[in-house]
Amino acid sequence: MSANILEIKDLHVNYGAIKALKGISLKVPKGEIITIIGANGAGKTTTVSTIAGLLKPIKGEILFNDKKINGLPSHEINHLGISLSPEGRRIFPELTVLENLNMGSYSSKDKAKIKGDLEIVFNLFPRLKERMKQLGGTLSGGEQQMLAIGRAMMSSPSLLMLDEPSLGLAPILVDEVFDSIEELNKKGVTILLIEQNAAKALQISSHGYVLETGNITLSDSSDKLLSNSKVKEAFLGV
Amino acid sequence: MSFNNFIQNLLNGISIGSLYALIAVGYTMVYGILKLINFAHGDVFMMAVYFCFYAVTLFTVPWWLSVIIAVAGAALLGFLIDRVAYKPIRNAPRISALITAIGVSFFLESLAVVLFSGVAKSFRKVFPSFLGEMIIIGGEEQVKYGQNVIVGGTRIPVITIITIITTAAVLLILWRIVYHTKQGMAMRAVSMDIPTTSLMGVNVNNIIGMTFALGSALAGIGGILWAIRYPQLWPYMGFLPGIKAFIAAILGGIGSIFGAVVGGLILGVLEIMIVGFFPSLAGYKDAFAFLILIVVLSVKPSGLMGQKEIKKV
Ligand SMILES: Nc1ncnc2c1ncn2[C@@H]1O[C@H](COP(=O)(O)OP(=O)(O)OP(=O)(O)O)[C@@H](O)[C@H]1O
Ligand SMILES: [Mg+2]
Repeated sequence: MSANILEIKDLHVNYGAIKALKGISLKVPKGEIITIIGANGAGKTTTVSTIAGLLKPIKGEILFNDKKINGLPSHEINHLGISLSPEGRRIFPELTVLENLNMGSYSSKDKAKIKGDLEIVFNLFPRLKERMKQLGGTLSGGEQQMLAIGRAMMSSPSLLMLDEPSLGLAPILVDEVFDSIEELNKKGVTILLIEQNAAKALQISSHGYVLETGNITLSDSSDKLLSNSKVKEAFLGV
Repeated sequence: MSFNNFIQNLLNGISIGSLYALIAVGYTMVYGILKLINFAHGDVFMMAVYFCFYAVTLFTVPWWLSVIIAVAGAALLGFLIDRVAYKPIRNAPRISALITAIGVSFFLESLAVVLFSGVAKSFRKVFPSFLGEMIIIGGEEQVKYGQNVIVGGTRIPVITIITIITTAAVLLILWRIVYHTKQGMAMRAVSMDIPTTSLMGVNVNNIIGMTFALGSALAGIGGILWAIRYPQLWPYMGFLPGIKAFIAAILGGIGSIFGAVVGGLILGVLEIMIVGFFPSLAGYKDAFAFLILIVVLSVKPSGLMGQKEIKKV
């Protein structure tokens, strides 16, 4: 078994006539935090949606633990241990907070484990515990973001993909979310992180990819990317 | 209208309304999930009655067992309709699904004509005769034509009581399933956001199939109760109750289960009461539902319990 939990080879994805991914390749080593940064419309969401099985590639391969997963329906990909906190939160508005979290652990049968995971999520976001019985749609934007992350954690994935988890959060919460991502990672969860907040993402990740209009134009260790002049100019606002 | 009459009419209306509610729930659940009007729903109702009829007359099973067979058969039929007709075009434009639904309805009606013949059959001898009797409360005993008879009083058909009780029990079970089981939670999630539900590891097609099966089982129960009350079977018997239940679902706010129940009850009671208060309008009884449809669509298209979507950006 290779050291990569996820490997993407020459992935092409289209929306009708629009070519969103034009042959990207990347590797996610087991146990690490890998980040993808890129401008709006670069194809970041398309990448994780395709990994999660919501989109079908027209060409290329996605390997999870060396097994090809492209073509599988998304619920089976979830069962394999890949979880996605999708862009835009996608909370179930008319399910309660607790039900939203239970949806995250839908395919788990281990009741004790579910209870433990719930405790972890509530420790991380005590706000969610206070609002357990409230409908998801009535949470504030930031609270919904916490719920989306918590829900993705509930399936105890081995690969957790987060599509802009800090979007819409107050700065203090952004720090908390990043802390919790690192903490999860220490527990052995591999993380693929997409962030507008490139500086923060690169600080906690080991490796980064830069995506530009459907192509990967840079791939390097996060430290090197942080000091790369092009990255500084385009994403770090320095 | 006398008080006795009023009570009789009210119970009758509630019982007819219960039947509309049982059918309407299936329309509304499928609509909630797929935004599809399943026009074949009334035909599942019809098929269930035939299943029941043939189980008793041809295979001589006890009548209570025939009910179980017919309801299970209806559930299976609903499941198969989704698998065979709707699932392959899940991502097609909605108009394609609508046309398919009409096609499935025609297909089932024609199939019934071929299999069961277009000649109406009587459902009278299929079930025990006590179901056709009346409960009489009050009134006085008199001797007429050499027989003891009861004159006056409130007369309530046994089937009316059974219909109301059965419907209440079935809806209670449905409520438990939808709001207190994991699958029910997934059904509600699917009705809000299909892709995200699949990201949670839910096999969405199975949940949709389950929804069809559940709604069809309810229509099957409604069909059997209907046939005991109006004991005549024919391949197009599902059309009018189907359309009226659909109107009840619109009246209650399509997509809402509670709305479908309320809409069904209102429609049933109004229909009976109109005829009760204005006997001269009896001939227009069936047209009345359409009048309601027109009024709802022009005044409040989202229906009584229609939901406004909660959207956060
Ligand atoms: N459903 C769709 N139909 C057509 N084009 C789409 C669709 N979704 C995305 N695209 C296009 O694909 C390209 C990549 O989009 P994607 O959402 O992956 O970008 P992104 O990197 O996540 O951007 P952002 O940072 O704004 O979230 C964009 O040009 C976008 O317009
Ligand atoms: Mg995006």
